[in-house]
Amino acid sequence: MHIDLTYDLLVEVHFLYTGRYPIALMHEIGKNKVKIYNNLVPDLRRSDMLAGSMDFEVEGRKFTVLFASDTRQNDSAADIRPLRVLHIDEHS
Amino acid sequence: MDRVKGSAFRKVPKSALEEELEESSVTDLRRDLLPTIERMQKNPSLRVLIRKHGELRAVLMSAQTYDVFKKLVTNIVQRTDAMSREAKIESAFQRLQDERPPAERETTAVSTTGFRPVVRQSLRRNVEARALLGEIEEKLRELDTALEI
Repeated sequence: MHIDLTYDLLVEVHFLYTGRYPIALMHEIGKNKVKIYNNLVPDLRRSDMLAGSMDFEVEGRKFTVLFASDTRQNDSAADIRPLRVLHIDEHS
Repeated sequence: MDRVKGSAFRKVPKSALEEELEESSVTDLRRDLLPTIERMQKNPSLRVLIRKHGELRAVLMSAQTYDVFKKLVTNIVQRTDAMSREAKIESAFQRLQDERPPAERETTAVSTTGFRPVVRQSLRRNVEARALLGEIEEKLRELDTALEI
Protein backbone atom coordinates (compact mmCIF):
# COMPACT_ATOMS: atom_id res chain seq x y z
CA MET A 1 0.00 0.00 0.00
CA HIS A 2 1.30 3.44 -0.94
CA ILE A 3 0.31 6.51 1.08
CA ASP A 4 -0.15 9.70 -0.92
CA LEU A 5 0.66 12.40 1.64
CA THR A 6 -0.61 15.90 0.89
CA TYR A 7 -0.99 19.10 2.89
CA ASP A 8 -3.92 21.46 3.23
CA LEU A 9 -3.23 24.74 1.46
CA LEU A 10 -3.06 26.73 4.71
CA VAL A 11 -0.71 24.23 6.33
CA GLU A 12 1.46 24.36 3.23
CA VAL A 13 1.49 28.18 3.40
CA HIS A 14 2.85 28.01 6.95
CA PHE A 15 5.46 25.40 6.08
CA LEU A 16 6.68 26.88 2.82
CA TYR A 17 5.92 30.60 2.96
CA THR A 18 5.56 32.02 6.46
CA GLY A 19 7.91 29.51 8.11
CA ARG A 20 5.53 29.19 11.08
CA TYR A 21 6.19 25.44 11.22
CA PRO A 22 9.68 23.98 10.85
CA ILE A 23 10.44 21.95 7.72
CA ALA A 24 11.80 19.24 10.04
CA LEU A 25 8.18 18.65 11.11
CA MET A 26 7.27 18.00 7.47
CA HIS A 27 10.05 15.42 7.30
CA GLU A 28 8.87 13.74 10.52
CA ILE A 29 5.31 13.55 9.21
CA GLY A 30 6.60 12.01 5.97
CA LYS A 31 8.63 9.41 7.83
CA ASN A 32 5.59 8.35 9.87
CA LYS A 33 2.90 8.45 7.17
CA VAL A 34 2.20 4.70 7.05
CA LYS A 35 1.92 4.49 10.84
CA ILE A 36 -0.32 7.57 10.86
CA TYR A 37 -2.59 6.18 8.14
CA ASN A 38 -2.90 2.83 9.91
CA ASN A 39 -4.07 4.58 13.10
CA LEU A 40 -6.84 6.64 11.49
CA VAL A 41 -10.40 5.89 12.62
CA PRO A 42 -13.76 6.64 10.96
CA ASP A 43 -14.77 10.26 11.45
CA LEU A 44 -18.11 10.38 13.30
CA ARG A 45 -19.37 13.44 11.42
CA ARG A 46 -18.21 12.49 7.94
CA SER A 47 -18.97 8.96 6.87
CA ASP A 48 -16.42 8.87 4.03
CA MET A 49 -13.53 10.20 6.06
CA LEU A 50 -10.96 8.61 8.31
CA ALA A 51 -9.34 10.94 10.81
CA GLY A 52 -6.75 11.02 13.56
CA SER A 53 -3.93 12.96 15.12
CA MET A 54 -0.34 12.48 16.18
CA ASP A 55 1.94 14.42 18.52
CA PHE A 56 5.41 15.44 17.36
CA GLU A 57 8.32 17.09 19.10
CA VAL A 58 10.65 18.83 16.67
CA GLU A 59 13.49 21.24 17.42
CA GLY A 60 12.26 21.54 21.01
CA ARG A 61 8.71 22.51 19.90
CA LYS A 62 5.60 20.39 20.44
CA PHE A 63 2.93 19.96 17.78
CA THR A 64 -0.31 18.05 17.43
CA VAL A 65 -1.03 17.30 13.79
CA LEU A 66 -4.53 16.43 12.56
CA PHE A 67 -4.89 14.08 9.61
CA ALA A 68 -7.74 12.87 7.41
CA SER A 69 -8.16 10.44 4.57
CA ASP A 70 -11.02 10.76 2.11
CA THR A 71 -11.93 7.14 1.33
CA ARG A 72 -13.71 8.29 -1.82
CA GLN A 73 -10.32 9.30 -3.18
CA ASN A 74 -8.76 5.86 -2.63
CA ASP A 75 -7.11 4.45 -5.72
CA SER A 76 -7.82 0.78 -5.18
CA ALA A 77 -6.39 -0.31 -8.53
CA ALA A 78 -2.99 1.23 -7.78
CA ASP A 79 -3.33 0.53 -4.04
CA ILE A 80 -2.86 4.21 -3.16
CA ARG A 81 -4.44 5.72 -0.06
CA PRO A 82 -4.64 9.51 0.39
CA LEU A 83 -3.49 11.13 3.62
CA ARG A 84 -4.03 14.86 4.17
CA VAL A 85 -2.45 17.01 6.85
CA LEU A 86 -5.48 19.09 7.83
CA HIS A 87 -4.34 21.25 10.70
CA ILE A 88 -1.45 21.79 13.10
CA ASP A 89 -1.61 22.97 16.71
CA GLU A 90 1.56 24.11 18.43
CA HIS A 91 1.74 23.74 22.20
CA SER A 92 3.75 26.19 24.24
CA MET B 1 9.42 24.59 -27.07
CA ASP B 2 10.18 28.03 -28.63
CA ARG B 3 13.43 29.77 -27.80
CA VAL B 4 13.35 33.29 -26.38
CA LYS B 5 14.94 35.68 -28.87
CA GLY B 6 18.52 36.54 -27.93
CA SER B 7 18.77 34.03 -25.07
CA ALA B 8 19.04 30.32 -24.39
CA PHE B 9 15.74 30.38 -22.48
CA ARG B 10 12.71 28.46 -23.68
CA LYS B 11 9.17 29.81 -23.64
CA VAL B 12 6.61 27.75 -21.76
CA PRO B 13 3.17 27.50 -23.39
CA LYS B 14 0.77 30.01 -21.87
CA SER B 15 -1.88 28.92 -19.41
CA ALA B 16 -4.73 30.90 -17.94
CA LEU B 17 -2.87 31.63 -14.71
CA GLU B 18 0.72 31.91 -15.83
CA GLU B 19 0.98 34.32 -18.69
CA GLU B 20 4.71 34.75 -19.17
CA LEU B 21 6.72 31.68 -18.25
CA GLU B 22 10.16 30.79 -19.47
CA GLU B 23 12.49 27.97 -18.59
CA SER B 24 16.21 28.11 -18.07
CA SER B 25 19.02 25.96 -16.76
CA VAL B 26 21.19 27.33 -13.96
CA THR B 27 24.10 27.65 -16.42
CA ASP B 28 22.08 29.71 -18.93
CA LEU B 29 20.57 31.88 -16.21
CA ARG B 30 24.00 32.64 -14.73
CA ARG B 31 25.10 33.93 -18.12
CA ASP B 32 21.88 35.86 -18.85
CA LEU B 33 20.97 37.06 -15.37
CA LEU B 34 21.33 40.82 -15.88
CA PRO B 35 19.43 40.95 -19.21
CA THR B 36 16.76 38.74 -17.63
CA ILE B 37 16.33 41.14 -14.71
CA GLU B 38 16.06 44.02 -17.19
CA ARG B 39 13.40 42.11 -19.13
CA MET B 40 11.51 41.56 -15.87
CA GLN B 41 11.56 45.28 -15.14
CA LYS B 42 9.89 45.85 -18.50
CA ASN B 43 7.47 42.97 -18.02
CA PRO B 44 6.90 42.21 -14.31
CA SER B 45 4.62 39.25 -15.08
CA LEU B 46 7.57 37.34 -16.57
CA ARG B 47 8.74 34.40 -14.48
CA VAL B 48 11.66 32.10 -15.17
CA LEU B 49 11.52 28.49 -14.05
CA ILE B 50 15.04 27.37 -13.17
CA ARG B 51 15.93 23.73 -13.70
CA LYS B 52 18.94 21.81 -12.48
CA HIS B 53 19.55 18.38 -13.98
CA GLY B 54 16.10 18.68 -15.57
CA GLU B 55 14.27 19.19 -12.26
CA LEU B 56 12.46 22.40 -11.37
CA ARG B 57 14.39 23.93 -8.45
CA ALA B 58 13.56 27.64 -8.27
CA VAL B 59 11.54 30.45 -9.83
CA LEU B 60 12.89 33.90 -10.60
CA MET B 61 10.25 36.62 -10.49
CA SER B 62 10.09 40.39 -10.45
CA ALA B 63 9.98 42.24 -7.14
CA GLN B 64 6.49 43.51 -8.10
CA THR B 65 5.23 39.97 -8.61
CA TYR B 66 6.78 38.89 -5.32
CA ASP B 67 4.96 41.79 -3.60
CA VAL B 68 1.67 40.57 -5.06
CA PHE B 69 2.36 37.05 -3.74
CA LYS B 70 3.16 38.49 -0.31
CA LYS B 71 -0.07 40.52 -0.27
CA LEU B 72 -2.11 37.48 -1.31
CA VAL B 73 -0.60 35.19 1.30
CA THR B 74 -0.80 37.85 4.02
CA ASN B 75 -4.46 38.38 3.18
CA ILE B 76 -5.18 34.63 3.40
CA VAL B 77 -3.21 34.19 6.62
CA GLN B 78 -4.87 37.18 8.32
CA ARG B 79 -8.33 35.96 7.38
CA THR B 80 -7.70 32.41 8.57
CA ASP B 81 -5.87 33.41 11.75
CA ALA B 82 -9.07 35.23 12.75
CA MET B 83 -11.08 32.00 12.42
CA SER B 84 -11.71 29.61 15.30
CA ARG B 85 -9.76 26.33 15.37
CA GLU B 86 -12.97 24.43 14.59
CA ALA B 87 -13.73 26.64 11.59
CA LYS B 88 -10.19 26.16 10.26
CA ILE B 89 -10.51 22.38 10.52
CA GLU B 90 -13.96 22.43 8.93
CA SER B 91 -12.71 24.49 6.00
CA ALA B 92 -9.75 22.10 5.56
CA PHE B 93 -12.20 19.16 5.42
CA GLN B 94 -14.23 21.09 2.85
CA ARG B 95 -11.17 21.71 0.67
CA LEU B 96 -10.36 18.00 0.83
CA GLN B 97 -13.90 17.07 -0.25
CA ASP B 98 -13.77 19.62 -3.06
CA GLU B 99 -10.85 17.71 -4.58
CA ARG B 100 -12.97 14.62 -5.18
CA PRO B 101 -13.17 13.50 -8.80
CA PRO B 102 -16.36 14.81 -10.47
CA ALA B 103 -17.98 11.36 -10.47
CA GLU B 104 -17.57 11.15 -6.70
CA ARG B 105 -19.02 14.57 -5.99
CA GLU B 106 -22.63 15.00 -5.04
CA THR B 107 -24.38 16.51 -8.01
CA THR B 108 -27.49 18.57 -8.17
CA ALA B 109 -30.21 18.33 -10.75
CA VAL B 110 -33.00 20.70 -11.64
CA SER B 111 -36.47 19.33 -11.14
CA THR B 112 -39.72 20.95 -12.18
CA THR B 113 -40.15 22.25 -8.64
CA GLY B 114 -36.71 23.87 -8.57
CA PHE B 115 -33.29 22.62 -7.47
CA ARG B 116 -33.38 19.16 -5.98
CA PRO B 117 -30.22 17.51 -4.73
CA VAL B 118 -29.57 14.09 -6.19
CA VAL B 119 -27.75 12.56 -3.28
CA ARG B 120 -29.22 9.08 -2.91
CA GLN B 121 -25.94 7.46 -2.03
CA SER B 122 -25.10 10.23 0.37
CA LEU B 123 -28.55 10.09 1.93
CA ARG B 124 -28.23 6.34 2.43
CA ARG B 125 -24.88 6.89 4.11
CA ASN B 126 -26.34 9.66 6.27
CA VAL B 127 -29.20 7.38 7.33
CA GLU B 128 -26.73 4.62 8.16
CA ALA B 129 -24.54 7.05 10.08
CA ARG B 130 -27.51 8.40 12.03
CA ALA B 131 -28.64 4.85 12.85
CA LEU B 132 -25.14 4.06 14.08
CA LEU B 133 -25.07 7.28 16.09
CA GLY B 134 -28.43 6.35 17.61
CA GLU B 135 -27.08 2.95 18.64
CA ILE B 136 -24.01 4.56 20.21
CA GLU B 137 -26.20 7.05 22.12
CA GLU B 138 -28.40 4.20 23.34
CA LYS B 139 -25.34 2.26 24.54
CA LEU B 140 -24.05 5.39 26.30
CA ARG B 141 -27.42 5.83 28.05
CA GLU B 142 -27.28 2.19 29.14
CA LEU B 143 -23.76 2.72 30.44
CA ASP B 144 -24.84 5.87 32.34
CA THR B 145 -27.72 3.92 33.91
CA ALA B 146 -25.41 1.06 34.85
CA LEU B 147 -22.91 3.48 36.41
CA GLU B 148 -25.63 5.25 38.42
CA ILE B 149 -26.70 1.91 39.92
